[in-house]
Amino acid sequence: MLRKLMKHELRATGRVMVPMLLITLICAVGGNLSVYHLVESGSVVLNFLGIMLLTAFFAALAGTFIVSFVLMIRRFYQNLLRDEGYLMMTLPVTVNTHVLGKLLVSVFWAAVTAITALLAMFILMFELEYVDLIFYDLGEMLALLQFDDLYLMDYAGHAALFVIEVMLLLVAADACLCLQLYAAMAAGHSFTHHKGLFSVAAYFVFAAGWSILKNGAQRVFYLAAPDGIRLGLQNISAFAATHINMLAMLLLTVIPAALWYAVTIWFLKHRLNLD
Amino acid sequence: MNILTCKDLTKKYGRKTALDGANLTIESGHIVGLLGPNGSGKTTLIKLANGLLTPDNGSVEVCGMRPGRETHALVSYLPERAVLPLWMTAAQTVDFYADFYTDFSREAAQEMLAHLQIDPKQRIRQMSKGTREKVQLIMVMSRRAKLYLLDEPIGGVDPATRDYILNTIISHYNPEAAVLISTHLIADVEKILDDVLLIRQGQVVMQAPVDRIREEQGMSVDALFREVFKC
Repeated sequence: MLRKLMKHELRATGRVMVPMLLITLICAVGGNLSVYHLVESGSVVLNFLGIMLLTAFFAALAGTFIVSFVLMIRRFYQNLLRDEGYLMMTLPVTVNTHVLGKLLVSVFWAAVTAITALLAMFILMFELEYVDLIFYDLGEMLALLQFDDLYLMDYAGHAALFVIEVMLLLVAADACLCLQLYAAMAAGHSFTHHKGLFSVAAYFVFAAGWSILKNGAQRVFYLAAPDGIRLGLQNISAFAATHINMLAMLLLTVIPAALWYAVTIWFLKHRLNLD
Repeated sequence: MNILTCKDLTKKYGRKTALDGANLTIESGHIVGLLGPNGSGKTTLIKLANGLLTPDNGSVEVCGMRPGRETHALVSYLPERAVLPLWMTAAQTVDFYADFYTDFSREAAQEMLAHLQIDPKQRIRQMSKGTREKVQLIMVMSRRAKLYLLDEPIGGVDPATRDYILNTIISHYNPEAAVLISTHLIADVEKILDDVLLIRQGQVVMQAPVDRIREEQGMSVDALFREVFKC
């Protein structure tokens, strides 16, 4: 059922996101033309056109991120908590599957938006003469790599791990933001009146609650952690410290995400109030 | 076999009690009219049976189960409002129902769409209010469900379409299933009803077969409704 829900969710969101992403890429081509040919052409008209194309590119880029974010909220709100909810919440599908489907598709579009933004920036800055340079530099880098150099390989391994950790953290942070908004909307819509207002209030209450909980837990850990652990943490390598730090950040993102997920499910299961 | 059972079912919206300890049972093979004036709790009862609202007290069961994923597979629900996503075409709506309901008949849906001259490629957004309601009803009646919960199925359509809708209900519903039709257009639905359930201020005031009402009270259901709910 998750696959089917995601298929329809991708169809519903894709009709908005795909044109937005394509517009961003087309604007990036216009921006490239502007950077390398129009802005410094000496002609007032071409100069103005160049500035317009560049403005359009940055507007499209910002617009894609905004649309992706708004769509994530709007799909949950309209598809589950408003009129379409009468259709969706009476499907033979569990609440878990509904929330998971929405979450996965939101994270997917956030990732696609980020990749498209990187691609668009690459297109904006791209020039043919750079291609040779890029391949030359890549060749130089590969030539420098000595696979039998243990120190270098260790360094490369840590760097690769760090990149994976950053990507995981970004995905987890996006999922956490989605789930916090879902939880706030689910809680706010359990009230009979002023559902929007209660949703906003729930968002801030949840954020404040988590902040208090997190700070309290950190304080307890600091006071209660055995000296061995504290001393051990002070005497580790820079690489290990970085990974421990990333792991801690990942945990501090995944824990609230799991909490918001549970809150969302509880409200949709026990306090659903479609009227 | 009991398809729908409500025991002391209560639902409050703030201080207002929409359903006040309602007790009722609906058996398979019956078409039941849920009749009552506006605000009497008809829609609330149907929403509770679908799990769209949570009861404050009492219980509601469909085929012996509390509303949830299992009962959703058994219930075909027509809400009183337009709920189909506006961006979908009629054909995509058929795909959607076929994807999620194993008892959905694609052929029946396509046949009804063709009969009502609804273009499968037309988007819901481009359809009139009446056509949207027809598409919604077609989807609901194309299922072989155990229980059909129809909330105001003929409320917003012209008399000719009303006849078509009522004929569709009779001809497409599974004879082993139960149908609960909520409406206040009693004269139109009376001819297809087996039983009636009168509801007033959230309480079930009468549940009886239509034939018995005619025999014992000597009046039609429409006349009885007017007498019971006289202002």
